[in-house]
Amino acid sequence: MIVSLVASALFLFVLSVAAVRKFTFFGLKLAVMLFAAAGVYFVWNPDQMTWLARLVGVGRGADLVTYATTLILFLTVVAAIMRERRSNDVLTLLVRRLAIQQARFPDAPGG
Amino acid sequence: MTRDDTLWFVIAAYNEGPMIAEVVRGVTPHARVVVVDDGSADDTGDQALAGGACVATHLVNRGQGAALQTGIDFALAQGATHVVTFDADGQHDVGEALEMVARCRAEDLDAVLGSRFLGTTVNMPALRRLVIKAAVVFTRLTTGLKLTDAHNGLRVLSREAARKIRIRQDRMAHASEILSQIARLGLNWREHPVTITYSEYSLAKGQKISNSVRILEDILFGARS
Repeated sequence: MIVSLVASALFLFVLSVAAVRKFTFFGLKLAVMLFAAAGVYFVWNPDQMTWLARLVGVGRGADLVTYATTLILFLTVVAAIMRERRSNDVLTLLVRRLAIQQARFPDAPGG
Repeated sequence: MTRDDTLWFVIAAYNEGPMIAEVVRGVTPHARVVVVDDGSADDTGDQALAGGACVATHLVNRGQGAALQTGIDFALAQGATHVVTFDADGQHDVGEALEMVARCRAEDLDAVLGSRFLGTTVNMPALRRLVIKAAVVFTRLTTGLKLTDAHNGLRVLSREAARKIRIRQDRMAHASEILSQIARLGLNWREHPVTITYSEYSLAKGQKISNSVRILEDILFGARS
């Protein structure tokens, strides 16, 4: 009961965050909101989860949850790596600009 | 010997304090030098300046590829007609670099690439030879360039070539990236035999074999070009 309440609260939190945040793609926002809403539903109707799992050819509902979680985690990590790459590129450009602007010259250039 | 003010040597240096001044002094009678101090913890920048180089300092370490691009940008802004990328650890021979520049000018080439396999190597470890040969095959397959060497840091680029080539690989994969851009841009290049001296200092400072895995990862997943 308590676990279900906590899980529902988490899903509702994700749902509300997704609702107010801006996304790069509207489709992504919709997907996250749908997923969170489905989460709330299935917490209180675990049997339905098993029904859904059977439908897609997975044995138990719990298995389906594991697979879905793994997939989402993987996608999240990929997105984080790509974000890090972009910010690394920006950092390099900044460091380069500063280095050139503040370059030091020898007293007798070139010796 | 008069100094050629249109010729710029670009040296990326990370913690090269013990050797950098000597390397710079080897070049300054012949050409201008910019050392990009890539966030070194030691006195690399001061040593390079004392040696007679211009010094551009990366406030944080960004990798050799990023440092070379910074140095090339600086040299172009200073009016370089030719840019030489040169190692900081004394592996390269200044005389051979100048020969490559003369050839680049005489034959009106876009790029002259140093090859240690056309030339000679001194004290090259066998495992390193194997890894570089593997890189040569990889380069041939991915770019179509029929090179004899793949990760040689000694290169001469004409101003035009230096402007067109953009190094986006911040770390060590830039060596492959430069080659793939030379192929893609259809630049007019030649290889030139050079001597690489594997001194105790350069071996301690140089590429670890394990880095080749990292380079491959960068090539496969990091490139946006």
